[in-house]
Amino acid sequence: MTLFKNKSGGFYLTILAAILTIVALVAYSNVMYTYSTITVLLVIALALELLPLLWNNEVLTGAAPVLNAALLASAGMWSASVMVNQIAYVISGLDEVSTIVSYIVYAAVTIVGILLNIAAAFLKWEK
Amino acid sequence: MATLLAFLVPTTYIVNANLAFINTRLGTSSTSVVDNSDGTTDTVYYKSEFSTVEEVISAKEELAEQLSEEGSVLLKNENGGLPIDKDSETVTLWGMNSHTPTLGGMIGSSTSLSEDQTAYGIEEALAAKGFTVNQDMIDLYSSDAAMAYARRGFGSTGHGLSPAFTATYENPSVYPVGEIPAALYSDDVLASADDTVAVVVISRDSSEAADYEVDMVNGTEGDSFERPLALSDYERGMIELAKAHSTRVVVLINSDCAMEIDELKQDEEIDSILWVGLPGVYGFLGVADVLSGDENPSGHLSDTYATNSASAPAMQNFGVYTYTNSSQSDAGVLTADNKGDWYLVETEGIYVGYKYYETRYEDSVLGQGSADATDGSSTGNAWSYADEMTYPFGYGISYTTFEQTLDDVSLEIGGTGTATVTVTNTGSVAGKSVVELYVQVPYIEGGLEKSSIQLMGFTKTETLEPEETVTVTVEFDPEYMCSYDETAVKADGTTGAWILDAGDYYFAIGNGAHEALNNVLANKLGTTDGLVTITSDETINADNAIVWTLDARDIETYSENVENALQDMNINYFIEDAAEYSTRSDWTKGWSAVTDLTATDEMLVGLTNNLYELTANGDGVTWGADNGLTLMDMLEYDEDGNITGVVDFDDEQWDLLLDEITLDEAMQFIEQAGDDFERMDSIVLLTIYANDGPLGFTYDQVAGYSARWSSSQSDEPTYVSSDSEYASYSMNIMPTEPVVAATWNTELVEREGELFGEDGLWTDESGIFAPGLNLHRTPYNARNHEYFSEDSMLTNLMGVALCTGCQTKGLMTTSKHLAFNEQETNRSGISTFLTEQAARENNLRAFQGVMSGNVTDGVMTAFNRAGTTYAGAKYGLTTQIVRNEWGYDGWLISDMINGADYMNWRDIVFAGGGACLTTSAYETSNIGTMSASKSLIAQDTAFQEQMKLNIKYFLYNFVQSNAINGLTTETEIVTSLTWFQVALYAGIAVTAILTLAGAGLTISSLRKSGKRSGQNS
Repeated sequence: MTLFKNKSGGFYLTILAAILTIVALVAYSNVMYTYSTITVLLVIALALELLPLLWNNEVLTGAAPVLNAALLASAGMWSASVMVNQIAYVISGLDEVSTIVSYIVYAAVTIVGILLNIAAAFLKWEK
Repeated sequence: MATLLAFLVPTTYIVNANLAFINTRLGTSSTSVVDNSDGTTDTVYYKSEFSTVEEVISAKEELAEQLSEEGSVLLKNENGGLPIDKDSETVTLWGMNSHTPTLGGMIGSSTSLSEDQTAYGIEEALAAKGFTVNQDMIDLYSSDAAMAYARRGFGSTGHGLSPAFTATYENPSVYPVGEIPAALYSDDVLASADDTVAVVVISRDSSEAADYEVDMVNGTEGDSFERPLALSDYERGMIELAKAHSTRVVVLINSDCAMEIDELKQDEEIDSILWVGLPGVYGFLGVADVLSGDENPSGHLSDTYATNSASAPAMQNFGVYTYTNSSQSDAGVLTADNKGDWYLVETEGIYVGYKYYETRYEDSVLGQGSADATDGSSTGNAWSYADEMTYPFGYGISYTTFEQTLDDVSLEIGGTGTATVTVTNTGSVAGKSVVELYVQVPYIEGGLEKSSIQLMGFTKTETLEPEETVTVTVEFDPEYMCSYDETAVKADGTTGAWILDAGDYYFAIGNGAHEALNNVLANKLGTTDGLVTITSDETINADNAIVWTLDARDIETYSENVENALQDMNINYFIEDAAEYSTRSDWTKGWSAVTDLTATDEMLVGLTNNLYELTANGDGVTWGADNGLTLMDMLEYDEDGNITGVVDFDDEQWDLLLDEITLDEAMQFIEQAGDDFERMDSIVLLTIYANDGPLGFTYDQVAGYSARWSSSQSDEPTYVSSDSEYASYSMNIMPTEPVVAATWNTELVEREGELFGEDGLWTDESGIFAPGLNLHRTPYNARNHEYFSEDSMLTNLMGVALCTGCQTKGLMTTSKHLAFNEQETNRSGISTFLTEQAARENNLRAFQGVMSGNVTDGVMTAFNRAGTTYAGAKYGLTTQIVRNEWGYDGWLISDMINGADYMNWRDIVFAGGGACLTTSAYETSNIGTMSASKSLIAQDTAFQEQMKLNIKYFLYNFVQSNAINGLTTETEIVTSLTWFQVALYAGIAVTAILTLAGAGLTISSLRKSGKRSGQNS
């Protein structure tokens, strides 16, 4: 597996972040109220995470985690804008927790993805 | 930095979108009011009668207790069962639900409190009132072994229902009664109860978004019941123990859903039964006073207590019924977004509650309409009133006895009616007596359906000492004697009319509908032979019925502007003979469930939300004009600047004001009427707060008296700071509406409204989503606790009393839910079908008083469809009936948008449905937001004109509410950023600069790196 040869922490964290972005995409598809824009943001983030794996370029490996973190942060917050009411309903006892479980999963995965990307931005890809 | 920037930008958007809500939580404000007047005007137009918020709280607690004292209904009292001598007798509380009683409902009428408030269950109340209570039994129920059986649904002890806001295709199936098995009672505990008075608590809880179902099973391990509103085996076992170990047995019914308790009534070892309903936070204190005799019970039932409620015709169609072409079917034409999969056909027609039982009773006495057929019989034998009825509507007894005599009835068609009644306390203790006035209108066999008896009005005496006599009057509106004839053709050629048939009208009084009807029958038949009494204290007195005769049929007097408007709510309008309705001409009809309906193409128009469309039409309307008017200019003033009235609704000055509003403001006001009513700077309208609900402002939405105040308002006389001892005090403490209705005391209810109004003044709230005016179509609706009664007139008059009280303090009421929301299961989108006669005589009559009298400022439309059309967009309802017929000048507003496409803003606006209770639901819907459709809207003149009209109704009421306190015609609104907005914008600026700088440095670094690589190569 030449792909993994001589790879360092940044590489592995980016792979983990890509996996989490896929999970976020799946979770988001089950969220009660969604924006198609969020899906686009997540797909771009996933592409940026995968592209350096296919095309090992210094610019890409350096910029991708930064951009990914920003994309995920943006996706996370914009998605919240249409879920605010629903979350408030649940907190107020007006609706069931089950209606926001997918969103909670999506938000949690996104937050971890952001942190992984930020960490990856400070680490090298190659040993 | 880029990540932080990406985080801050949408965060700022969300904060700005929810600014009003955040301000209420943080005590901040985005606006300040600048008064440019000379400062000589007293701008506190609606004043509090109290000096401190503590006085308000004290008055409310006192009233809450009194409402339960007068709203508790004594149903049975034999062998000296009650009262209990609390100085010499010890009480043993029996039943797990004595330890975990239900005080209110879940969600809208919950009794959530702040941590420093005390909720009085029966244990706490008896202790507070000085009863000696058997502690051993309390310890048993407090033990882990017993608490394992307790109802603890939805995170609340004392609740077992499972509310669901989502669609369901199966009926709810489990309800845990929460009683413990007899085996848990040790010999020692049982011995501790010997020689004490047993107070047994039987309880069923209530919840928004939930229903009971006949086929439910008991979710309490090892326990079972035949129906959830009947006694369970564990309850029966517990009662047997109580009977064996007590000197007397008193049963408290802690339920707003009429239970099936005939076996308790028939049991000679049960001495007393007291219905207490769900009494709220302080109600059990009042119940304790009734138990001790410190207060004499004077409540009367607000619902029928049938032996088996499932035998009523309304129960034949209740629950989940799905169209064959629903989104769940292979050939489905409906989608999940349509929320149109379900329907309900109310085949009972007008025969709801006592109107069924008493009408069939008369027909059985008269031997007509096959009334004694087995259909609807709970025994399987020939139908018999005595078998079916436990306690009739309006029934209630006292520790004393009263004699009532109907002296006179006078009325004028088109005018008013008055009954004069003499009441004497013939017993040995003081007490209050309820006078209930009913009427029987002439029925022609096989003709228009008529209930054999219907409530017209009532009054309650002051406390009468033994042997004291008083003469009282009951005022009534003869309009409510009318029946609705869908086939009547009036002089102007239109079809549909309120009619009064020629013939004899029997006015009667009685302790409940049954006694009144018996008085009518005795008068009409000249004998009491064949008449049935079902309680030991009942009397039959032909003289307590008076005949009034109408010589000629009248279809005009009460039919001005009236015409059929709801014909398509009858399923037979779409599908011939789809439903067979109950009829007193043949009681064997109307007992079939309407199943497997297929929505036709005509029905799909409403079911797929295709009612209206935006088009380019007209010459446009004026927005954003500079006419120099503010909302305060719509009031009229005397020479001294005192307000004398409001500019007439039809005055063109309103048009000039509305022209000043911008289209953006108008769209935002209509599509974001959730949490608050949006401010409109163009006309100096500040943000107006309105919240749930029927027990007082709910703690979930208004978390205390200081919640809505900002520090900039500290000079207002009713300001409550966040430092106040009562800052987070919960206001939702009142008994539930069925208890309030059971007082039959409109003065008390009006006082409740006044104190709601005081809460409005002391918490800076201008609107309350109350009262609930839907009917108890069946006891199995678990939201009955938010509505007064099964009867339209009791609901009508209670609603008027409550709203009138609120209005005196400037608090705007939003009565709810117009209309036909008599089932919670799949309430979002369900098609409700019924006859127009039933709709008008029952469901709508309940709203008619507050709306035609304009004592409610707003009305919330229902989640359900009226027929196939969403109720909030049902033109026949929202415009024809409430505007053209009733002359209602308040606003309409949707319920919480839960299904943005069927509850869409386009249809709501076009049909005159007002505004939409949401902040963001449209953003993810197919229809999208109004803002996104602005260009389309701007081309549609008719739509924009309707927008203006809808908004006008709001403004017309806002300007007559406490929302104008602090304002003058010279007031200006100055907007400013809050501290958190400043922080967010600063954060965006800083992170943007740093991100750009970082990007620049990175690019520069990469270029240098590239050059070095080039040089090296």
